[in-house]
Amino acid sequence: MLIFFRLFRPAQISSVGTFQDGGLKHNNPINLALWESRHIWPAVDKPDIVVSLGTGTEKDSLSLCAPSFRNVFQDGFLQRLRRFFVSSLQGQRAWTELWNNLDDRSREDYFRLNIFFPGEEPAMDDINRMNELRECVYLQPNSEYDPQRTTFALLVSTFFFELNGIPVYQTGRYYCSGIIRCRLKGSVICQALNRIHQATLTFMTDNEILGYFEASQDLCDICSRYKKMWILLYVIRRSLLRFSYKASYKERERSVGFHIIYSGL
Amino acid sequence: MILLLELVLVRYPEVVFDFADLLLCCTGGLIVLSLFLRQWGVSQCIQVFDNLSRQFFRNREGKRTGIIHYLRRLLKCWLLDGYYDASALEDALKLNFGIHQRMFDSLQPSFGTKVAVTATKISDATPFVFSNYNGLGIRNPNCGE
Repeated sequence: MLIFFRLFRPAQISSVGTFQDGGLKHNNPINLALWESRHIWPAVDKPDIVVSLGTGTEKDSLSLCAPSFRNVFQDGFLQRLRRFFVSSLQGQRAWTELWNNLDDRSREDYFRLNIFFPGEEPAMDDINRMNELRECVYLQPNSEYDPQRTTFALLVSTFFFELNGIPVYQTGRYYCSGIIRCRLKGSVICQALNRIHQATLTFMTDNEILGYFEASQDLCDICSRYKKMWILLYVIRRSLLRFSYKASYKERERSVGFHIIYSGL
Repeated sequence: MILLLELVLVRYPEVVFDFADLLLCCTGGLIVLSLFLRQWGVSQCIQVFDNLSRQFFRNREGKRTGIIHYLRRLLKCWLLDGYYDASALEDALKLNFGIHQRMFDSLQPSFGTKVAVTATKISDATPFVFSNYNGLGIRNPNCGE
């Protein structure tokens, strides 16, 4: 998004104020979204899945080559100031900065979908390039953040673990029993997962396999809700427990899951 | 942006509106509001915004380049505080969304997706968030600076 604020005058909202494009400060508002999520759900330390949708990036802007100074008209103060301002508005930059701050484990839950412009970045109001940009979405499968991987992560994020009793403390460990449920329509989620992965999917922690994903057995015939019964596991006091829904994906093991954190026992 | 969403979600239209708990955007606000609050299909969304863009920007002055053209655009922006007529955009939006449609009106009052659109103050570009929710936590007064 590039200098959208110059296309339209600011908008005045009575008894609130006058405002302009939010992209001036947060052209990629991913940091705002993370801060807002803490404000909405203060008990949640991190989101399950974060998906950032880009609107295109110039490939050259990611180049590691540093050009030489040409002349005062092409590389003078005004041109450098303009380029700095434009560069500061790049949405990909905000994503890169966030990504650099994430550890390897957290990065598994963050997804960026974006395209590279075929050439220079088009003007905001250049309708003649809309079809070309549309084709880029289908012609540029990004091997690291491809839509299928994002879809898989979104589908798996709909599962959660529900305790069906107070954990029992025994020989230095807490034993928990519960149920794995799905917060959306189970039949649709299961069908979608089977479409993406033909291989056997398992529920597992870092220590053990808890059970297999068996849509035909775990779906209720009446309400189509998903319920995996009687999951029994042990946890060590004050440790982070993570369910992993692991599947072979394009010959590379990927693990996505949902978190259970407990304290105070 | 819509097309990237299409790749991820369009195959599962039955649950597409339930996937997101929080959506936050700036210029893409109209798209998000259409998809998740008005529950338009992705194809419908693409078609409407394609038509809206072509209709509104059809008078764009081609590919004219040059210092004179650039200075003329700059002068127009300065005098009119913008290159395009915002009231014309508002009329086009009313035509597509209806004259009574408010920003966060949802088809289902109990729909759970939280949506926010960002803006900035004209005085010092302080970010503002227009949302259809209130949070439980206490927001840092310097959040977003």
